[in-house]
Amino acid sequence: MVAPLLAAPLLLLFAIFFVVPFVEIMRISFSGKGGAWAGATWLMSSPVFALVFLNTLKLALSVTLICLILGYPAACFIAGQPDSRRGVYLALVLLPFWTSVLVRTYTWSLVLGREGLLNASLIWLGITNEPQRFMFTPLAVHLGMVQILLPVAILTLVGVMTELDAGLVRAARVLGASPWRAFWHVYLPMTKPGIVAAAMLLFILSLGFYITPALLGGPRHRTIANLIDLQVHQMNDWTAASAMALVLLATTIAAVALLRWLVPERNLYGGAR
Amino acid sequence: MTAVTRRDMGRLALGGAALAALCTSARAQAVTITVNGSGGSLAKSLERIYEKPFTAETGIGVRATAPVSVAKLKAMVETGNMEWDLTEMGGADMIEGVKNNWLTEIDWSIVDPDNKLPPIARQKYGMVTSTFSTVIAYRTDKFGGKAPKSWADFWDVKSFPGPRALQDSPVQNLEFALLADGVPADKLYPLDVERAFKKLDQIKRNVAAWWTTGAQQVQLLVDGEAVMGTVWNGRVPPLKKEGKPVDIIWNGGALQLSYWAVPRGAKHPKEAMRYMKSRLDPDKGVQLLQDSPYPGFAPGLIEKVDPELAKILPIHPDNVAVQYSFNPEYWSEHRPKLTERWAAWLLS
Repeated sequence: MVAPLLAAPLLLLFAIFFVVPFVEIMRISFSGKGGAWAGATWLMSSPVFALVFLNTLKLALSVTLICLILGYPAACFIAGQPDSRRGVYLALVLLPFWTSVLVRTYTWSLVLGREGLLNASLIWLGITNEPQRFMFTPLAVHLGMVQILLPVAILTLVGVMTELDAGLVRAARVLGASPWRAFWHVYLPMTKPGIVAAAMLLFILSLGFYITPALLGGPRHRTIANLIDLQVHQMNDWTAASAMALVLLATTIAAVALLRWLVPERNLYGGAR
Repeated sequence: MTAVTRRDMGRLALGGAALAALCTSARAQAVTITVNGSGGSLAKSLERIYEKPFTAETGIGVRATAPVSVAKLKAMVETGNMEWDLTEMGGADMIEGVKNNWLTEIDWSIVDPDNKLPPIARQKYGMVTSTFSTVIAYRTDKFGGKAPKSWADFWDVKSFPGPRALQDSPVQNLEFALLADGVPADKLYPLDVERAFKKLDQIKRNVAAWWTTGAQQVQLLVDGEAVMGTVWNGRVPPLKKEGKPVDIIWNGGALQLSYWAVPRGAKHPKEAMRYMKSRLDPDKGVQLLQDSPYPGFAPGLIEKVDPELAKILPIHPDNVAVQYSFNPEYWSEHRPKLTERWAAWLLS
């Protein structure tokens, strides 16, 4: 009898802040001026939507990959530390994580600008005579997003790695496996649930990125979230905006479903044991 | 125990009077109107010149909010949750607002009882509060003493090298492209969209940044992210005063009107309109122009302006002569489609 009661606050929150807006978005999306299918028709015919959607998927994928590649060794290192020192390293990862996304994004524009830190350094070092363009490039968007999401990758991976039975790697080494072989055949497979969970989180978070691509990428690197903003504020077409929001949600659900199919649930949340 | 002295009585009476005054002002303050504008540094000037004196005179409080957003207006009207009593509106947004029935009719017997405003400023659903221009601004220190003179120069990256900045919107940029391509200012509308985009293709590579807010326009120039870009005319004089090497060109500027309107469902429309009336005081208008060169049509205003200041106003005859008159009707009709094309063009 108590259990449902305990879930009530969360369910209420979910109902108010997710179900109600979701139903409203469904309503707007299917009841525009142009009839029930106006939103869907726009999605199919718009020259912008397909391009931006594809770009958003590509961006989310590449940011996810880069975060995993950079985060994995860092997580290995942190997980391998004794308990006393691990806390210090985790704090170093968490510190930027707790800093506002807006602040971190804006700071990048100071670094990457034409007269910013990076260009000043390159000119001072004699690597270039002319300031190079870094702002509003794919590089800027990637730098900003990777820096923001990297702690998510590291924390998720460390969580799984500290749960591992280190004895198994030792056993492989004792039985004659080279360090590389022990890593490749023992350690890496054991961390797979962590990699998949991190990839899922990173991909979903990247899909909805708004402020970083807007500030560092500009309109030439719009994501779906930016395009929704443009629809709402410039084109006044909320039907199209809602339709795009639904596509974004469906993509997220599809990504989650795919990953759960790749890795059974108990492995996702229960560590590797 | 001493008896209550006369002085004590006096103090009591004073205290009572103060209390009574507090109470009455509290009662009068019960009505507070919410006025939505563009915010920024201008908000402080407005508070000093108009809002505080208005509250002192009428007892009606004024709460200022920002930014101007037609999307917010739409959301508030459609959900029946109107936060604003008065809002600033751009020209094309104004037409959109009238078309969609988002606005309340102005009661001119409150705002301009003596009928002193020119007809252009007195519209059924709005009052013109100010005029402003989107113009070219450039860094005076980047072209070796040369100064660009026109949109053709803006496009001429050989004579005036360096990154450009434009607004992330087809609105006005299509006009600017056509002006650069030699279309006369009075023959712009209806726009030759194909020709405009073709001309924009030539400059796209050189546009380093596409701004979305007024603060960004000048930030880009000051930071050197761009050496030439579009700005609202009022953004540059404060920078010049600070000694920054920037200037504007009136030639080819887009002269526009901005409006005050009372949203449909506003809680205090009468009070809002009384505030609108207070904005027509020419003496206060002159004060405001010191901080913000966006004059309205307040009767008697222009006669009171210092001739030196008048030169940096969008409606100075010399400046009007070289600008084109922005057509909000055209944009109200074509903005959604052209914005979509613009967004696609930027991606390619």
